[in-house]
Amino acid sequence: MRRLQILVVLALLTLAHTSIFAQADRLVRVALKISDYPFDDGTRLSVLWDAPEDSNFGFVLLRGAEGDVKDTVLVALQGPLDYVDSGLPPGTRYRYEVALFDKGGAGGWRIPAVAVVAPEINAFDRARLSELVIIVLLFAVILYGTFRSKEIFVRPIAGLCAMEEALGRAVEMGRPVLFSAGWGAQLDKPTTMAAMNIFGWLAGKSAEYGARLTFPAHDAVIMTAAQEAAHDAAQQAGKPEWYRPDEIYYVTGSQFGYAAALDGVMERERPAANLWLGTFAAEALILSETGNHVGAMQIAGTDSTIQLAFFLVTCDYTLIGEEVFAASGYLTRDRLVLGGLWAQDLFKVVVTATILAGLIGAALGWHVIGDWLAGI
Amino acid sequence: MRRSLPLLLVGAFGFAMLVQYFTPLPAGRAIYGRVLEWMQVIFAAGLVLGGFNYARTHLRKVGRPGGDRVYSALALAALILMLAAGFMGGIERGSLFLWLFDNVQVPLQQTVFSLLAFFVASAAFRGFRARSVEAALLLCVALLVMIGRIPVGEMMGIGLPESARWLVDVPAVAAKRGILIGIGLGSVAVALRVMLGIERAWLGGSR
Amino acid sequence: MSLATFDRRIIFGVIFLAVAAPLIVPIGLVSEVSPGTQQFYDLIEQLPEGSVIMLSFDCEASSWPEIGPVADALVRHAMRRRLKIIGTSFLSEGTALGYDLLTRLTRQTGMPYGADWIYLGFRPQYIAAMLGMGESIQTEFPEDYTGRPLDSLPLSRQVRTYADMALVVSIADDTMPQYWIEYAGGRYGVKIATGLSAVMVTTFTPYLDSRQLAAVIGGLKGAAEYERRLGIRGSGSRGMDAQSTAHLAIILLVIVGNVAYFAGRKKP
Repeated sequence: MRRLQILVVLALLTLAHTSIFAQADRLVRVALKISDYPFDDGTRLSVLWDAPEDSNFGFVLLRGAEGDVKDTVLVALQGPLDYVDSGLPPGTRYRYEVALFDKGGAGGWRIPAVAVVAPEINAFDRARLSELVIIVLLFAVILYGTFRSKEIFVRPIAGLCAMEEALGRAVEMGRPVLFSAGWGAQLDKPTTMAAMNIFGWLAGKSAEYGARLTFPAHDAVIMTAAQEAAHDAAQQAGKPEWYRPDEIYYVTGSQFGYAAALDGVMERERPAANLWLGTFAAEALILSETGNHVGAMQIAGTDSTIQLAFFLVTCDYTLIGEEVFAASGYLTRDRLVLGGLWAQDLFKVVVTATILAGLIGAALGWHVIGDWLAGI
Repeated sequence: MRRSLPLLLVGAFGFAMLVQYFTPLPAGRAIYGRVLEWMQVIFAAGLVLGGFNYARTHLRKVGRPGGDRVYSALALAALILMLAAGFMGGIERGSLFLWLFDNVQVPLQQTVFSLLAFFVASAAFRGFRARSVEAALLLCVALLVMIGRIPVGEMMGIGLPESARWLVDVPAVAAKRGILIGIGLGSVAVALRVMLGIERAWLGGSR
Repeated sequence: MSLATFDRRIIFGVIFLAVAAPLIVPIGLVSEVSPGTQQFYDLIEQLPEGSVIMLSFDCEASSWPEIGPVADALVRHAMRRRLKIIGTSFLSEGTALGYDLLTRLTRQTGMPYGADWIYLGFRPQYIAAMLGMGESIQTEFPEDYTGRPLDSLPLSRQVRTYADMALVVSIADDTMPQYWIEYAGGRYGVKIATGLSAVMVTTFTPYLDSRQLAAVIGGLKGAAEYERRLGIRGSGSRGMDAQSTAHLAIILLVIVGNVAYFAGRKKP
């Protein structure tokens, strides 16, 4: 009899437990949704838990790779929850399980394989949406400015105005113009492209005036591009005999070997003018100070904010920051390029306004703009 | 064709690299990786090209009468020596190549770099003149930072290091950020003009 | 002699004496530890024993006298904390410099190669290499700098990607840390710090403010401060003597130049 009583009690407890477990299982399978996170790089899954907090039980989400017994505890499923499981390798299938606890902490009963999902790589990563919007906006403004028909006023930039003066000086003195794009120059950098644009223009003018233009290069690819530019410029100027490939030559890729070589060129050939236009590193001061010592007229322009200070002290004219990029439009007076300059200035106003709005907002406790900028 | 093909290639590759930045698809990563590999190949080919150009330039100078032929002969000798040392003796620890690098190249580089100390002094002596209010302000700030950055400034106990740090960390960085914003916009504009073929001076001559 | 005809060799002579004298007869000036250096020190100090850090020697031989002391102090600190070190380089000249430094210092403490430190060597295409190490260091560097298969070294079996490292420190004299921040830090989330030449520090201060860089230590002054914090007197501290006298000499020259300038203006 007693044994029968015990068996009945056990059966009732099991029934009760099974019933509770079945209820929890049903709840989890309805309330928990795990899916691929849309528009990402395939490293995230989206976890949605849509059930109010239970007064008796707590749920904890676990994740393990399919086929692997190890689990990682992710998050407690409390209240409505929108959770992103990130840092996952794309294409790996993960199984999610839920562990059930009572409020006393006892339990740990598992609801297995609630979902088995693999994150997928999407065609577009929404983490880069802000950048895309800015790029599209910037492109649109630049293109609008470029093809705008209105006349553009460009303020006089002393360094660019002085380039023809430098050429004239070289012709009068019978000495060369020395051009350098800087040891930091690489043809895939926009500053180097801008420098090559100026060099192309300079080569054309040098061919016209009969001035000697020499360009010792630290990079053979830049050397080749400069040779092509000079050759074409001479052809266009109607002076093909002006072009001498020996004037554009490779020196060395070593930074201070390059500086020493150019110092030697300056000391021996005493150029009438030096044009330092491009990306410079520590060799900037060595070059410009030597140029100053040999009495050359010097025009510098660089995107290296550190070297700007040295150029400002040692050169006659210095192009600061984006004035280097403005050069080709300025020198050729090309309407399309000048239109692009107008667009750059317009976008600068937009950037300044955004920064100011963010500053004022942050001071007033409104951090939306600041957070958005930080997230880009 | 001579001008059209480079423009087409620049445009196509430029936009392809732009698109791949926004797509995490394996195709985008593959394009990026492949272009990086091609850049390595071009870089390596450039080294060979540069070497030949270097040798040709100096051989011609050696053949011409004048004082410069000595330097050119030295340059050629150095090139041949390093090539021979590298190919025949290897470039590992204990090799002649590495010995020459450690005992010739490195001291030479450091010597030329050290010229900066003298040139900074010479440039500062010439450039830091209080010709105007702005120049005087620049001069005072420069002196303050120079003293604040050395132990002597710390020993003075009048807050020079903190002032120097503030000047370097706040107004200097603010000005640099402004310049960088302009450079960033300028870079995008130049890149877009080059990709669209609007800017062609890099090909030679004018549009 | 007027300002216009002033022979700059006099200036060169003054600077030479100002730099050389303290190197021959040390003054023993002591640098106070700045907040930036303290932050760098704390970053290393807080790493648990046995953590793996990557040191990338992205510098040239020319700037080694300035940032070599930074690297030296950092390696000493790492060894004191019993951290494990993976060395690499993305500038060819830094490769041998970094290897020599690590070899010399680890020999002093008997830190075994292969178990406690390894040297991967140089890769020319740094962007591809940084991205590659985020997926698999062994694929990017199948052999170490000495030509041994990487998988044969115990430390390399422990460290497969950035996820197994506590920190990457770029010892740089140019903009290489920017690529570490973008590719290793931005894409793979590894913590990045940098030891820089002094002139580059302002370039990377914005990254410190935005927490893309964990810490920055700059130049010979930074090295001297780091050595002070470690309680040692190394080449950074000795170099600061010379740097201090050089700064004072330049200040003196600037003052003399201005006095002569104003005196010359007053003359009829």
